[in-house]
Amino acid sequence: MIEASVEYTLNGFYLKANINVEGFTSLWGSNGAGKTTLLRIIAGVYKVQKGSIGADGVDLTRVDISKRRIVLVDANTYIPHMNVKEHIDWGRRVGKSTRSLDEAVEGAFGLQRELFDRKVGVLSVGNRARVSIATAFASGPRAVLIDDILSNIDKKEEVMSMIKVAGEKVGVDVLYTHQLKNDLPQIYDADYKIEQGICIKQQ
Amino acid sequence: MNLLKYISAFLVLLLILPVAIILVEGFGPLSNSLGYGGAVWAGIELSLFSSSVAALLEIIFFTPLAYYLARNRSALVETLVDIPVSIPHPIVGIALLLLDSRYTVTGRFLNSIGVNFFNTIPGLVSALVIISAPIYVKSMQSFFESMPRGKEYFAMGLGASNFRTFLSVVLPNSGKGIMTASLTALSRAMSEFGSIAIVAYFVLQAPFAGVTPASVLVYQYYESFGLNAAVTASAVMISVSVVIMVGLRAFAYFRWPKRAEVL
Repeated sequence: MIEASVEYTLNGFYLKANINVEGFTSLWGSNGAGKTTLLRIIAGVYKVQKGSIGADGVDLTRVDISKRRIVLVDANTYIPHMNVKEHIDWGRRVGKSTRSLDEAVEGAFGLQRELFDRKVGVLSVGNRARVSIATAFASGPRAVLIDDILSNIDKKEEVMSMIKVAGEKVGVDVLYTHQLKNDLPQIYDADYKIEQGICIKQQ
Repeated sequence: MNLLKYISAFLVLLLILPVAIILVEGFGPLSNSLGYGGAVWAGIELSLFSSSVAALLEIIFFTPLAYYLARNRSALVETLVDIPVSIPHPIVGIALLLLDSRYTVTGRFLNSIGVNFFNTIPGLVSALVIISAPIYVKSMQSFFESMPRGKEYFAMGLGASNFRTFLSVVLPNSGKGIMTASLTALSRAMSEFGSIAIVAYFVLQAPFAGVTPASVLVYQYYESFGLNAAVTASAVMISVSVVIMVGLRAFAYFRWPKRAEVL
């Protein structure tokens, strides 16, 4: 579980969040509500100004992004010149994951096998997203933060439940952001709403 | 009426005019057989060779610096990198001679490991690196700064170090930037005169033993043989540069037809 309790000010924008990422967690809010900012704070892209971030008793507040083991995935987080297999394997190796490549590749969420030798840069947006998420899981992270990526994927519900199952299988928490309360199937373990920078837990 | 277009055309003309007059006069009315001589071709070869080596060294050693500066703004380091651009180039030549002099500590050290700058290829290349590397770094730095950083955060989130992210994620997608920056640096190095006229106005090593770099040779011809030989030699030198630059830019254009894959 990732526990974040932070306050953050960026160019006049104020953000306050108290969020526990456990299992498959949803975070929704409209454009500009602060979703991406919050994800970046949790991932370590932005330094924490006030508050703390921890995971299962480990304090991550000042831990460098490359040591934090929290992967931020969005529509552009792919490495274009690698083929699908290399991409997933690269994540596995830099993450020093103990999983085998075969296991890791299985997490590519219904991506057709014949695409495995293609360069990720030439894949469709949806397939890139599948590869990014599979790579994130392959690195053996504490958590994967997915920034509204499924809107580009067909068979949304199927992929979503695959992510949930995959996360549970390897014990990785997932935070998934989207726009509306009901725009995706309600298979979350926890649900948060963010509005004008203020993040509130939903029932 | 597209005013911007006419202004641009006029300005390009203004820049091209001095080059055009050299080509027209050098191959036309002022044509002189000395200008086509073996020494000129050898000088052009030496300039091309030393400038290419300088550009290659810049790609290898200065790309990481440019990346570092793009990701960690440092006014101090940026100023330090810019200094060679702001000092008169003959002083760069003198500085290299002093660095290598037996009256200085650095010189005694360099001499003890067999490095000499005066009239040697290493001296020539060193001067070219010092005067063109800042231009390379500036160009690469703005290329890296314009790269979206999401992919780098992703790579680091996976557990990759800064350096590994640079090598595996950033560098393989920087071909276009490296090409453009190194072409600018290459042109700058090929046209260099001031520093090399002091530190290496000819070189002693094979395969260029006794050869004078093209820019210095043109000046020497101007002094010894007058205008005709100098202008003809210049015309030959410019033609070769233009052919190479156009060739390399065409390669870059077809290799990276659109905007480079954004990172």
